Amino acid sequence: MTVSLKLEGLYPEVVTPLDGNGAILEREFIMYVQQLARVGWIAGGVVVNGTLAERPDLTPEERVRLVERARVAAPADFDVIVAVDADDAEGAVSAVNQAAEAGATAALLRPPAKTARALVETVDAEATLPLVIRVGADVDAETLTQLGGLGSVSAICTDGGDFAAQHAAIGESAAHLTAADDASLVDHLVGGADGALMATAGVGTVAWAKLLRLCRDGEADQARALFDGQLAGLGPALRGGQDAPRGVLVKEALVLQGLISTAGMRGGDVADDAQREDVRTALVAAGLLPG
Amino acid sequence: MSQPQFWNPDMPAGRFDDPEYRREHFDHLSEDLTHGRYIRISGAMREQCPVAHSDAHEDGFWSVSRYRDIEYVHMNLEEFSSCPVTIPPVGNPRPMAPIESDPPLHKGYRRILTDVFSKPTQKGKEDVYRAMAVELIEQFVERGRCDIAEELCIPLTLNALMDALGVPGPDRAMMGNIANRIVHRTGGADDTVLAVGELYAYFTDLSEQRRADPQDDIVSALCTAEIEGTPLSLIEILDVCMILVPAGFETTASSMSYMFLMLAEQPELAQRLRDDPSLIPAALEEMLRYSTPVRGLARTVVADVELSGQKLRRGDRLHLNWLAANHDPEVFDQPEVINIERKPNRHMGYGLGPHLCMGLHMARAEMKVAFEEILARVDNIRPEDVDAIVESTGPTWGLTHLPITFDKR
Repeated sequence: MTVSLKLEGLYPEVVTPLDGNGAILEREFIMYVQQLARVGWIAGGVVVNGTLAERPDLTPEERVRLVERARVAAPADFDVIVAVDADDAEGAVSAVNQAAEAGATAALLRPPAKTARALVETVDAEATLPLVIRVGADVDAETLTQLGGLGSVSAICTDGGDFAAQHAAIGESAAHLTAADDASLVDHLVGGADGALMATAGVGTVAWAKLLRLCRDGEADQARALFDGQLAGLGPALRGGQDAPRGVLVKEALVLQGLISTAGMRGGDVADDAQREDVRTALVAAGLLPG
Repeated sequence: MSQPQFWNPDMPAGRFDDPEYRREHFDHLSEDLTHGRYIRISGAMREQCPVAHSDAHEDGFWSVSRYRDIEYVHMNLEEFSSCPVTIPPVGNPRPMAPIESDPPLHKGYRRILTDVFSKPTQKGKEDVYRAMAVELIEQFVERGRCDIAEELCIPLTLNALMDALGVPGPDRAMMGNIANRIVHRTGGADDTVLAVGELYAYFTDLSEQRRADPQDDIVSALCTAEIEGTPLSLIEILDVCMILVPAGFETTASSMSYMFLMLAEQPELAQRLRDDPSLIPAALEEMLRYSTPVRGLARTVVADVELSGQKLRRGDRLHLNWLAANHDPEVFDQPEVINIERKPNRHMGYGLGPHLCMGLHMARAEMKVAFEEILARVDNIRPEDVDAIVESTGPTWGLTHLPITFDKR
């Protein structure tokens, strides 16, 4: 089955707000998605059920529910991209089709490099949603070309590696998104990226959107100045080194900004004081919190 | 009825008299638009550029001034988000429920407050409001003069709201101060952010008390409310309080202040209402249409759309000029005239559509008893010193000082 979608702009990967008992705070989730949708034309959609959203700890029913909630929260032309497990083709097809029924507009898969082509070909043949394929630096140009040529693959998101070579390999067959949140982001956006999947974009989306707008307007120097002056510290602060669980520091940042109420995670992870202070410092530097 | 003098349309409006300037820089908060200037300038906008882009306030916004366009925006929640509801935003981190909430949350939040603000409930509160009004009036009626904004409009509406919320008497003046800092930005933009923080801190404490010991008040109701089986979280409770404090009393006080000025400027209108108090409710509606203290609210475009031929893109901000709409001759015959027999009078003084002001029955009840009690006690109301009248701008415009004289009956 061939289904396609034009992907363009910022695609923040959203967290899943949880209360103290680990239950999903649906109304906070809806408000959070709506806040992102209001940023403007430059925010193309959101990614739900990603690793940042604690996908491994969500039940299948909860994953479907989050897609449904994101759909009703967002305007019709705002994409709801659902991240699905890509351990095996059969499971991926099932998850993609379930997400389609819940109202998702595309599915995001991150297959292992060695099996990427075979897995995506199977999903492409049977799934009912446009696909976004996220690949690492280890994917070769031939695979990128082949993936981009599949009918349902609407975008390929590259995470590391030689962006220009990857861009050439993908060509016009699919949109090219970047996952960079470091200084190379501006280079990628100026160098032809159609947009960005952003693990930090739920924090400071307006600032990221301004950066993208500057890149689109050909104002690369201003974009770099904006990045260096405000945004450079966000990515590292929200990753917090190897020890920090994915999502916990992003949640801390969202709490500090008042966008969600608690930073709790299902695994019980919490930021330590030093990490929390680093996040606060990065938010202040980005102009997202008063100094 | 004649046109009230305060709104003399011929007063010069400086740079806003230049059509090009106002088209590109219209600012609904400008102090250059006080008195009757706002009506005249926004009327000119409505005729010349009904959907005009202004570069005022950060990234700019579209000023919408035709009744029908504004009506369309209000009725289409799917195309126009209610958040943020002001330009510039107040500074609250999350949407203020229910005024800034969109579907599917909007109905759930409104439903919680429906009973509190319903017409029957507020009708039943009239005696309470009347007692508050009488107590205040008796403090100044012997003097033959007062600052009616400061001595009646503000304390009456503040007391009524604080009573409804469950805020104890000693804290009410402080809350009034916080609301002023938020609504009129009396301490500047940074202070507004501080005031929002103080308001959140206060209601955090109060909601903790009410969770432990519920009373018959709004904060207790919020603490026990559920939407689809889920209780409100603390931040949801705080967000509701965040909108209720400024919107719940300050708008009514401002409305009342303009109305008292109209009575002071139009003794024949005052006498007519004194002779037949049953005309007061319709008169209040017409004076509200005319003065429109909430000059308008904001919307955000969530899907590309065209309005009066102007293409708008997702993320664009709109300011809906309610005052311009309330003076739109396509909807209101002779809009510059105060006609208390105007029917229909579908004005936007309380907004329109699904986000219609929830507190309108409370406001109407408070204003009705205040006017009944004043008119029953005094004759010959007139402005004491027009130069001492202070008009404040902001999301809500109003008279914060209105010295009047009168003869006790």
